[in-house]
Amino acid sequence: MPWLLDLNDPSKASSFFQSVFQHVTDAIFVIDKHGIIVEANPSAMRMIRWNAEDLIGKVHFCEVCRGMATCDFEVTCTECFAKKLRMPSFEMTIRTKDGKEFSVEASSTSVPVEEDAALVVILRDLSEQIRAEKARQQKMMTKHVFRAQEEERKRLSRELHDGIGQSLYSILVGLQVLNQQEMEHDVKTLIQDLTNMTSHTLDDVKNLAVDLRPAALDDLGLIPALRSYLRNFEKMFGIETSFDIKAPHRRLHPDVETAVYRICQEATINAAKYADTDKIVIAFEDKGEWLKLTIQDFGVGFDTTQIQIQGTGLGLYGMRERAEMLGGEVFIHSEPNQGTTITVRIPVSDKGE
Amino acid sequence: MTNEEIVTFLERARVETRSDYAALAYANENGEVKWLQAVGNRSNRYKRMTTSMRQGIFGRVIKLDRPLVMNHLSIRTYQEIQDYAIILTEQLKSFIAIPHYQEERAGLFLIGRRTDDIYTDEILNKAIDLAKTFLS
Repeated sequence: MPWLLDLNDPSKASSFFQSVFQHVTDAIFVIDKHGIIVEANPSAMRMIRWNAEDLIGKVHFCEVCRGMATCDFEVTCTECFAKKLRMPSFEMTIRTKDGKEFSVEASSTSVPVEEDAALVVILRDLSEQIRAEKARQQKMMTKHVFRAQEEERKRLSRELHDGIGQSLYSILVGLQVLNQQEMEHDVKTLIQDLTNMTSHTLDDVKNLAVDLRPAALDDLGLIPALRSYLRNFEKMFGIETSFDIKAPHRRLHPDVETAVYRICQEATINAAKYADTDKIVIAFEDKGEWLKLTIQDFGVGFDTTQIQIQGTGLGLYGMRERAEMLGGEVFIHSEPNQGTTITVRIPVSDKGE
Repeated sequence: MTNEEIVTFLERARVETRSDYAALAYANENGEVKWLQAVGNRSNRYKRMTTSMRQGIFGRVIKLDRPLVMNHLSIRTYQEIQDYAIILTEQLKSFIAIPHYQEERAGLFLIGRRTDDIYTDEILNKAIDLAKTFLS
């Protein structure tokens, strides 16, 4: 690049560096030994929303800098960068003239000026990257939490069903065999009572296991698990359900099956709780590249622009989180007295992942 | 009791306890609980409801063998939604549940209010008397 050679000419170099200072997208501040901002480029002005007249030579840098991020603190003034000759990279929180605070990536270098020294601070706005990074971490975290919760539920459910359930079944069979022996009437009645009690406890344990996480979801797949869930739901709330399936016989990735099952569970419970509906229509479609689940009720509906959180508000949030975790979306269509339709779309691969 | 007698009883109980809703449920020999009759009901969903006699309000009341009074009930968790499905469906804010037995069948007499009025001991005693007089 031959033009660089021109920089050997001090006047040309000066105007070139002046131009760099004016045009770079990073914010550059020059601070004197008292901490006053003595120079700032247009990017710096834009970042902190000050104009040159009010800023240059008048404002202390501490008015802009709220502190640095360290291992221990998000914002602190201990070990201030200004006390050091150079700090190549650190995070700083700055405050704009209108009071908005955000974090930026910073570097500072002490530059000798005649017999004195000035501090050059360069700032780069990372708030968008940080926001994206936080969102990404949040998503990962949610995924881990959901997975861990499902794993724990699966473990407990299996333990209840196969462990305690099996033991109760053995006791039940033993009692039944015992009751076939010749015995006094009172003892026979007592054993019959124990048999009934054991049988009821076995039912309770099985129900508890299904409530935690139905074994059908892992062993038989999404559709049978949903069918069974909806049968119980009808009994529980007296709400009639219909389940329309347009899907080939295939197993989907466990994360996908769990998400669809839980979303359906959440949506139907929400309908039972708030919709005051006699009927819910559920439709599941597996188009190969994506899945669509709709849950429609015919209840009181609500104004979607003014959602009033009546419960924990986590139902809707949970549905969204589960769908978005898999790159899917949740749409809610509702109007007062027109019922509510929740549509979930989740992309899947050929392998159902 | 005939169906007509039951409805008459429930209507009377509803008026005398200043309730909005009154209902009767019984458990069958399989331990399944169904609602037999209701008055002041908002929907007929209760007719399709089946619960276990060891769960929900029925389970609690029968297990403890004593009445249960709940005022300003707030239903939030999944377990509560399951336990209080009838309260939710009928949009009741407070209720009194009284256990009773008819020919060895476990039963539940339920009255409820949709208003903010709470059930006092006086109303509870009245409800217990009504159940004793007409249901045993």
